[in-house]
Amino acid sequence: MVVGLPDIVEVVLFNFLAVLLSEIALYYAKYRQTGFKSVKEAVRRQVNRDSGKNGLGKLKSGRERKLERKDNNLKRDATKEVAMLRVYQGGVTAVMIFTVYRALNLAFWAKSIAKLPFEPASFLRMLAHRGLESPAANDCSMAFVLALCQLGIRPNLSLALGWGPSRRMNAMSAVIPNQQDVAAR
Amino acid sequence: MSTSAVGKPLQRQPSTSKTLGAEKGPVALLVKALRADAHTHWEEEELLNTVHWLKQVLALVCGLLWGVVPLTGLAAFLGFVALNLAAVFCWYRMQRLDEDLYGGHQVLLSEGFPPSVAVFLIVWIATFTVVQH
Repeated sequence: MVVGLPDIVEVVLFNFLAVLLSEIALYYAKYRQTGFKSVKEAVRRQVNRDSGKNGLGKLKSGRERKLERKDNNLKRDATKEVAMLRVYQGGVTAVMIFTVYRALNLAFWAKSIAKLPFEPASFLRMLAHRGLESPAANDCSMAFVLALCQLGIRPNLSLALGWGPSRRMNAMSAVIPNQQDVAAR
Repeated sequence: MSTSAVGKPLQRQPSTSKTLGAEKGPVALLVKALRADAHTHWEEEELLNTVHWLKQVLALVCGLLWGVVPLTGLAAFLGFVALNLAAVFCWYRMQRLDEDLYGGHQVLLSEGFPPSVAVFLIVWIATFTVVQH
């Protein structure tokens, strides 16, 4: 592909650009929508409010009940937003991985792009030697590096850009109401 | 309540989202981590993000070192895993943090661990290939 760069560096750079483009696509498709941004901001305000609280007492005042209703509504909204986001993320990621794999396959099929400093375990060998004919023990295929790039680059880039849902928003969307919450309703 | 020079009560500004640290980038968090001591205040998301980035930087540095020396084999990989966990553990113990406030040891040690392993492997493999072959 690019003259002068080692194959593995080309593959990593290509993956980085692909992940960056998919994050930009998600930003335009989802992250900058008003609904998502307002829920994200509301969750941030709730965290800010909760950090000053000492916890609810046994006797709930009217204000505390009102806040609790607001929190439950926020949990519902956050769940809805994160669920929709997962659909978009799944679609964009699938298209990106498929495109990247096909593109890199054309350039690096049946070619060892790196030497592994270890002998891959049996469950990794199929991925590490994918497409290679009569590979040496420490030969490395493009597919293995692609998998590592998806595991390593995507979470870091998402966190660095800060466009996606916060940890609190993800946690709220996964909350199953406990017995106290159900009884309080 | 504190008052201004003309006797009117000063308005306290509510905490903004910027105080949560969720908006701070990796560089700002890493600088804070290096300067932090037992009196530094950490919000939950800020601390988890800092732990995440500490692990990624450690993975990058170890990957480069392991590839240049070179250190090879399963022992080298396990050495990185042990170093990664131990370094972060020592760092937040030095902060005298109550880990229960932030989810416990499991949350702090597992935060950012899988991406750091992937980053380490990528950098290790790439450096080993470039330097040794």
